Amino acid sequence: MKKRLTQRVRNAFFLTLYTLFILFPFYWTFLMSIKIPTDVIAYPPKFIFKPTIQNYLWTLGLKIQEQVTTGIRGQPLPPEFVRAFLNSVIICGGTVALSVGVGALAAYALAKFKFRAKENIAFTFLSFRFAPPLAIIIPLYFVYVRIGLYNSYLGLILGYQLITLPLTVWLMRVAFEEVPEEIDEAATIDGCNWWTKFLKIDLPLSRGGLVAVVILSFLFAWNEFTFPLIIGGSTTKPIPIAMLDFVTYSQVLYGPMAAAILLAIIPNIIGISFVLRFLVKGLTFGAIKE
Amino acid sequence: MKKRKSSLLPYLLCFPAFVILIGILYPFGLGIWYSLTDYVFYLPKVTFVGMGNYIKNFQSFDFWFSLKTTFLYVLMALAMQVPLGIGIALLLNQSPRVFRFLLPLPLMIPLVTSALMWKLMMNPDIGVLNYLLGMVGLGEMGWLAMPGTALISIIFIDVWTFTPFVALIMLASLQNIPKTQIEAARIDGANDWEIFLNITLPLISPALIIVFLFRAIDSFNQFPLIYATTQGGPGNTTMTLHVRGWYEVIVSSKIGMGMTNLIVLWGFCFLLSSYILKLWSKTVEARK
Amino acid sequence: MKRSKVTVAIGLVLLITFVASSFAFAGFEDWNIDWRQLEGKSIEVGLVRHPMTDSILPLVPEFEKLTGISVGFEVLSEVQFREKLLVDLASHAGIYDVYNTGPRYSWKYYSAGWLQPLNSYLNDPKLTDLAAYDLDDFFPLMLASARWTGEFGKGMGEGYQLHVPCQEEAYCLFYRKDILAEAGMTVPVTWDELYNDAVKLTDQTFAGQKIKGFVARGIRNEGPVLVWIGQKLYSDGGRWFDENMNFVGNNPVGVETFEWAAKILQDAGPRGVSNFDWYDCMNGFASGRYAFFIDADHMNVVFEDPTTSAVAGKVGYALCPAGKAGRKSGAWYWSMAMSNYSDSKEAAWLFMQWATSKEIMLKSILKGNTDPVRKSVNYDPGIVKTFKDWGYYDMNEELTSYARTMWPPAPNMVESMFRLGRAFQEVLLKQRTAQAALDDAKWDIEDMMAPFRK
Repeated sequence: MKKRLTQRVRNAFFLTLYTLFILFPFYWTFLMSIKIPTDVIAYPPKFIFKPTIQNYLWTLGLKIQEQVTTGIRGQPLPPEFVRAFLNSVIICGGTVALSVGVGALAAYALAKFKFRAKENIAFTFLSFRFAPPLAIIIPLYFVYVRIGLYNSYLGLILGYQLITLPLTVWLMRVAFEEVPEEIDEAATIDGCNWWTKFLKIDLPLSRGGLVAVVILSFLFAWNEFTFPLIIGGSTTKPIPIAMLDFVTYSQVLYGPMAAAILLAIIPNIIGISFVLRFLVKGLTFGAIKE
Repeated sequence: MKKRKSSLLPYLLCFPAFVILIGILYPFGLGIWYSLTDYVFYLPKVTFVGMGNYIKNFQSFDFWFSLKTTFLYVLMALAMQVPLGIGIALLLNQSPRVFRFLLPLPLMIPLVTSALMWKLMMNPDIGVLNYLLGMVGLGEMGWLAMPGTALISIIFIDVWTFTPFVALIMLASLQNIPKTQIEAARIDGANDWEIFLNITLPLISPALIIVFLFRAIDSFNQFPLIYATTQGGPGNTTMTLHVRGWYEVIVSSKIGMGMTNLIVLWGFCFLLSSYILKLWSKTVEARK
Repeated sequence: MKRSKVTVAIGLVLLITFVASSFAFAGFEDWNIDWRQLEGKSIEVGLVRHPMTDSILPLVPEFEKLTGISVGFEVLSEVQFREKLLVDLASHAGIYDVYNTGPRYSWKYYSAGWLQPLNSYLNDPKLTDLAAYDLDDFFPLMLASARWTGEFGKGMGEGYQLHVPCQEEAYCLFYRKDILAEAGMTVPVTWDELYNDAVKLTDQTFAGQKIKGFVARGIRNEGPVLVWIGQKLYSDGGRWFDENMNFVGNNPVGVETFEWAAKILQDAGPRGVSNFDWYDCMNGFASGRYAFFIDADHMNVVFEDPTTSAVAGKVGYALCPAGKAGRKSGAWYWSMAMSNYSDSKEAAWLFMQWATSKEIMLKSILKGNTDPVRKSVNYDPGIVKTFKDWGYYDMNEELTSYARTMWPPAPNMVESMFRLGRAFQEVLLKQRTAQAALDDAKWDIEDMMAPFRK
C-alpha cells in the first residue's frame, strides 16, 4: 500500500514536470499576446506589465489602427486571419475525411486479408511519404496550374493526402491488427460478411487507434506548410501561411502572432474533445463488450 | 476458419488509396531525371550527365558533413522523444484525463511559427530562457547561435513538438492491452519493470515500430524548423541534407545538383523503412 | 452643358490642388493614353508583404475602376514569396503577371528568360504616357540599377529596363543620441571611430541597461555582406570583383574588412550575434540594448514609434561611416517586374505604370511607405517635415550620391553573396582566419561564375 502511494507521487511529479515543459512556451506566448511590442522585446523580460487586448482585436480584423503617434506610419493591413481559419477547417476537414474514408479500407485489407504482394503494396503506401516535398513541388505546381487544381480546395485536399494518407493507412492497419483474431472468426461463423464485420466489429474495437489517427492527421494537415504555400493561392490560404503575415518587411509582429497562435488553438481543442467524445461514444454503440 | 485467400476484394479495397497517391509519381520521376542532368535555371542548355552530379556531390566535404549532421539529428531526436513518449504514455494511462488534453498542444502550432517563438525565447541576449537560467544561477547559453549548441537546441524544439505524437499513439495502443494479463503477472510477483518488459512492450511494439518509422522519416526530411531558426548556421553546423538541397535549388538555382541531395535522402528513407518494416512483420507474426 | 460644368468643377479642384501643393499631379484621366483599352482583362500580381504593398492594396479598386482590368493579388512574406516565385517562373506556369523583385534577383530571372524587359512598353505611346509617368523623376542611381544589357559582369545602367523601382532600402547608421551625449561622444564618421566608440560603450550602463556597443546582422545568409560589411569594403577602396569578374575579395582590403567586421561583433556585439537576423538586431536595438546599429533605413518607423520601441525619440540617424576611399553605401530596391509567361502583358504594364506613378507613390508614402523612389515624393512638404521632426538623416544625399547597387551584375550573384555570408560566419566564430575563409570562398565563387566566362 505504501509502495503504491510513493509510486503515485512519483508519477504525479514526472507528469507535472513534463506538463510544465509543454506549457511554459504557451504561458510565455500568452503573455506575449497581451503585451505591447515594447514589452515583448523588453530586457529583463517582463512578467508583470499592463496588459492590452489590441493584439487580439487587430488579429481578428476588428480594429484597424491608422496613423499612430508618428503621424506617418500606418499599421500594416490586418491579416485575413478569420478567412484563413475557415480555409484551414475546410481543407483539413476534407483531408481527414478523405484519408480516413479511403485509408481505413486499405488498412483493413492489409490487416485482415491475405493476398499476393501485400507487403509490397503496404510498403508502396508508405514510400509516398518519403519524398522530400521540395523534390516534387515544382513539377506538381506545373501540373496543378495546367489542370486547374491550383488555388482550389480540392487540389489542396488531394495534395495533403501525401502527408496524411500513408499515416492513416499504417496506423489504422496497426490498430486493426490489434483486434484479436478470435473475435473476427466468431463473427464469420455467425455469418457476417466483411462489410458488417468492418463496420460493426473491427472499427469499433479499434476506436482508440481511429481517434489517434483522426487527431494526428488533422494536426499534420493543420500544420502543413510547403504544399499550401506553393499549390494554394490567395483565396485558399490556410493558417500556417497566414501566420507568416506577421513577419512583415519591417518588423515581426510578435504580439498579434502570439494572439493568432492561441486563437487558432482554442477551436482545435474544442474540436478534438468533440472528436474524442463522439467517436468513442458513437462507436461503442453496438460493439462487442470486451 | 482461416483468413480469406487471395481474392479481388483486398485489391479493390486498396485501389482508391492507391489512385489518390499515384499522382506523385510523375513529379517524383521528374525529380530523379533532374538529378541526372546539369539543369541550372538560368542556363539555357540542359544535358544529361548520368551520375555526374552524384559523383561531384560525393567528392565534396560539405556533403559528408551534411550527411553526418542529418544522421546526428535523426538519432538524437529519436533517442530523446521515443523513450520520453513511451514514458509519458505509460504515466498518462494511469492518470486523470486532464493531462490528455494538454498533451497534443504543441502539435497545434504550425512549426514555422513556433520556431519563431522559440527563437525569440532562446535569444541569447534578450531571451527569457537565458534570463531564467541566469536567475537560478546556471549561467547563460548560446542556444541557436553557437556551433556547439545550435543542433541540440533545434532538437530540443523538435522534442517539445513531437514527443506528444509518440505519446498519443502509444497511449492508444496501451489502452488495448487487456488488464487481466497485467493483474495476473502482478499476482505472480512481477515488478513494474518486469511487467513493462515482458508484457507491455511486446504488445505495443508493432505500434512502436510504426511510430519510430514515421518519426524517422519526418526527421530525415525536417526542414521548416531548421530553416526558420538558423538557416543552416552558425557556420555549417545545422546544414542537414534537406537544407542543403534547399540552398542548391532555391538560392543557387542548381536544380540538378540540389536534387541529388534530396534523392540521397529519399534513398536512406527507403532503405531504413524497408528494414524496419521487415522487423515489423516479424514482430506481428511473432505475436500471433 | 451639365457635363461641362462638372468639368469646370473638376478643373477648379485640380487648380486648387495645384496651388495648395507644390507638386500637383494630373489625374489619371488626363494621361495621354486610353486607360480602358484593355477592359475586361484580368491580371495576377504577386507581392511581398512590405509597406509599399500594404499601402497600395487599398488603392487597387481605383485602378480596377479606372481601367476595367481586374486585379488579383497574392501577398506573402519575403522568403516565402521568393520561393514561390521561383517555382512559378521555373515551371513556366505563369500564374503571376507582375511580381516584386529587385536588382540581384532580376539578373537571374532575366538570364533564365523569365522576365519581360519593359522597353517596348515604355516606348509605345499607345500604352505609356512618358511625360506624365516621368522616368527622370526616379532617383538616377536607382533607375540605373534597374537597367542591364545582359552582359556578364558589366552593362548595368544601360540596355534593358528590367523592372521599375517602387521602394528603396538604403543602409544607414542608427545610434543612440542619449548615450552618445552622456558619454560625451560625437557621431563616428570613420569606421575606426565607430569601432573605438562601440568598444568603449560596451558593458557600460545607460538608462538602467547594461548595453553593448554595436550590433548588425551575423546570420548565415546574404544579409551581413549586403547591409554592412560590403559598405566597409567599398568605402576602403576594395571590391568583390574586378573588371573581368575575377573574385578579388580575398585581397588585403577584403581580408582586413572581414577581420574588422568580425572583431567589432566579437568585442562590442551581443552574445549570440552569429544567429541574429534583421529582426533580432532590431528587437534588441528597440529595447535599448545597443548603442550603434547598421541596417536598412526603413526601420525608422519602428524606432520612432513609442509602442514598438523603448528608445523612441532617442535614436539618431547618420550616413554610414567613411573609409579610406570616402563614403560608399549599398542599397536594395523593391521593384515591379513583368513575367515573360504572362498572357496579358499589356494589362500588366498598365498596372505597373499606375502603381509606380507619382500620384500613387505619394498616396502610398502617406500611408506608411517611408522609402520613396521618386524625387517628387521625397520633396513633398509633408514628408520633409516629418523627417525633420525625427532628426532624420539626409535621405536625399544618401539616395543621390551614395546608395547604389555595388555588386556587378551576374545571374548568380545572390549565390556568391550567400557563400560570402558563410565565410563571414567562419571568421566570426573563429573557426578560420579571414584569409583562409575568403580563399575558400574565392574557389567556390570562381566555380559558380565559370559557366558565364567564355
